[in-house]
Amino acid sequence: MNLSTTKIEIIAPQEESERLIEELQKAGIMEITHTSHEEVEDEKVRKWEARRAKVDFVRSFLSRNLPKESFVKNLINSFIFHPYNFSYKEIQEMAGSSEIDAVIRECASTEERMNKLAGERMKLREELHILEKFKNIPVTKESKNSLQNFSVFVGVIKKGKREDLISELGNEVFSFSCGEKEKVFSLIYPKGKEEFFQEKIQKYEAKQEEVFWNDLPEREIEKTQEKIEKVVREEEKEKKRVEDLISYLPKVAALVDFYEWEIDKSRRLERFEKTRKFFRVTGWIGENDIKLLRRVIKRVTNVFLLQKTNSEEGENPPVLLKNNGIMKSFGIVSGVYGAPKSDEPDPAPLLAPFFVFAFGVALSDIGYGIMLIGISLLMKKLYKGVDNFFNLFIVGGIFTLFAGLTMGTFFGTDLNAPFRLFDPSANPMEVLILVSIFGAIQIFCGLLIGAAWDIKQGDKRRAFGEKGGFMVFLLSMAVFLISGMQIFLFVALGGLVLLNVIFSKEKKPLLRISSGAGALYNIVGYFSDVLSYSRLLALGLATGIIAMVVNVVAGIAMEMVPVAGIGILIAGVVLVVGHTFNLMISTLGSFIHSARLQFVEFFSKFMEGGGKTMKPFSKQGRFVEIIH
Amino acid sequence: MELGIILAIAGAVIALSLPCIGSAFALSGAGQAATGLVSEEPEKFGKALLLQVLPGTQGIYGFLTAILIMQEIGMFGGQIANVSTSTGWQILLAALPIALVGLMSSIFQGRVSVTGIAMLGRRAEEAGKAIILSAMVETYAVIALLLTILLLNIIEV
Repeated sequence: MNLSTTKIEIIAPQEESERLIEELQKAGIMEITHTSHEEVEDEKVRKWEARRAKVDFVRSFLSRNLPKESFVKNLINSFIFHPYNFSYKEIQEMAGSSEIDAVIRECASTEERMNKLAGERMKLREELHILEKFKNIPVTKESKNSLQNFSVFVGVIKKGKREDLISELGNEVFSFSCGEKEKVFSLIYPKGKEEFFQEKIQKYEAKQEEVFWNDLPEREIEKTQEKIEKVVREEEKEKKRVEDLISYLPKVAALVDFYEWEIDKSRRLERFEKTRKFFRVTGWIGENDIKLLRRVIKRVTNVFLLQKTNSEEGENPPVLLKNNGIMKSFGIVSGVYGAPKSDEPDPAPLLAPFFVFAFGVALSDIGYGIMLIGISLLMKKLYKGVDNFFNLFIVGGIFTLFAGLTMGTFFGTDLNAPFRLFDPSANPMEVLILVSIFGAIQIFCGLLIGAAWDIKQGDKRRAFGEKGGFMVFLLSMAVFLISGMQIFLFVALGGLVLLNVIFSKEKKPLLRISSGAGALYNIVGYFSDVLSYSRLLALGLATGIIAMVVNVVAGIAMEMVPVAGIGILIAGVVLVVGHTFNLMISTLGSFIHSARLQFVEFFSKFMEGGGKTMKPFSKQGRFVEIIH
Repeated sequence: MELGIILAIAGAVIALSLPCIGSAFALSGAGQAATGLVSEEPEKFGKALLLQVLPGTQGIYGFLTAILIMQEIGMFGGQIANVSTSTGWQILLAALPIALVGLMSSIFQGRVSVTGIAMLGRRAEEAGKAIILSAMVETYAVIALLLTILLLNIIEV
């Protein structure tokens, strides 16, 4: 339901402003509008912001160090909001105590140590990587610099060139050592022969490497490995320390929300219009909530004025949608499109029957219907806060099951059941006609809703002209197609033109006639709207054929493996994985395309959308849900 | 081997290959965008994945068309049907809609997915809208698939 909202103002004594805003935030029923848009930076806000920054650091530090979850669990969690539950009193008490201060200090120092250790570990790993390259090179930093009559060269050369270099140097070289890696080598040669050696080295494009190791590389490797192990042990210790702190995560997250609320409150308080003794605040509220608001204010003071006020120019009322029970689930579908305008109907209950029908036809399989219902029930049991979402799929699953029954398919196998009404693979035209009729009915209903709404808003011209014209057209076309009497074809076209002419907005006769003729052009649009529903047939066929392919592949697997038990096992795996995969992609496709039919083909007949959802000033948290 | 059967197999081959190439191309582009996003905000992985896989449908449509053709010419029954040259041409032509539209639409849809993933960075709560926008492009692959299936249904082997 689209509840109407109204703009109100509250005037109350200045000294009650802090208590009043606290009560307003707790109640969470009013969207506060601002008269000034200046950012306020007062002392209090700065204090809260500093506190928030500190606890938010701890929160993000602790959540980064949470124990790793399985991939699937992570994937599911990324779609679900898991709030921590606290009562408001508990959070207030936490904010007042100094318990968390110690945690903040501990986290800050632990993070510093962890970063230092991680940096050290990375540096050591890098050194180790280089040292491993120079394994078997019998040179150390000291030995390189202490030789008086010889020069030492340690370097890297292109693959395969090392042997060529050795043979070219011949007897001139005092000692030549090869590293374990193919490209590494060291040379020791008499001083005074530099020119000869440099030339050869350059010829083979060998690059000199810095010798930074004090001991032989093999020994250095051992030492470095020991050092790394030590650092890793230290890091483990720090991680243990963090693990002990993780139990504080809910509390810290709650405090982040708490300071956020305080900042919000202080900022708004500063923007209230004030006189010496009174303040004034304006905002939007659902009409049914005004009484409740009066009671909320009375908790603080009896001296106040609460009355309706006019909205400013260019200001549109926010939209307050409220649905109960299963309609909440359909609110998810319409929510994807966005809110209707404040004077348009809430589309959620209107699209519900059409959406589930389209969804069912697009999946249409007894097996998948049962699977969808089962998985949804399981998810509802395993996770909190997902009821609305999975209720949608339970209803969708029931329709899938029924659509599957009419087409007699079970996981892609044809049951050849006597109750089968349609056979989309043998006779697709039948189903194409069925979905087109369904489309025409939905479009007709859309027009009907649009016309009723127009009349309610006092726009009779649009109701009878644009919408009435096409309703007559669709009805007469239906009668024509069923009876075959050509007269109804003329009734369809004539009715459409005539109604558009009679109820045209234009005053001049010529313009009236042209607007009637313009309606003829829109017929193309209506045809393409109806034909758009053919996607349901295509999606249904695709689901069925992929399921069939899975069965065929399972059959081939069973035939190909001659050992009876293993063949059945492999076929079983193929069936389970294949059908789960198909259910996933086909459900996604069915959902998206059924939703699209609502948004594009249905909504356009009675609403524009683009309303702004009401955002009540409340204690709604990013991490916390307050329990009462 | 008769020309007819060669043409029919060619139909199956292009029906699968072209849309799969398109889907792979689109998924790789969207995947790169998603990696960038997930490196900053790992918690958005699920939604980014959803947007990435959307243009993958065309590949699956191609696959099921190929299977349909193989079934029609009896490649699963062990006994390959005697396909006349004319029928072979018919099957090849019937495969073209999903092959061509599948190839191009997946690439174009991939671009919408990429921008959708970029949108997730700023407004993850609006993921549904990004998904619908991307799925709009898929409409034409669905229509092409419908034509291919209807045509294959009519062709008698």
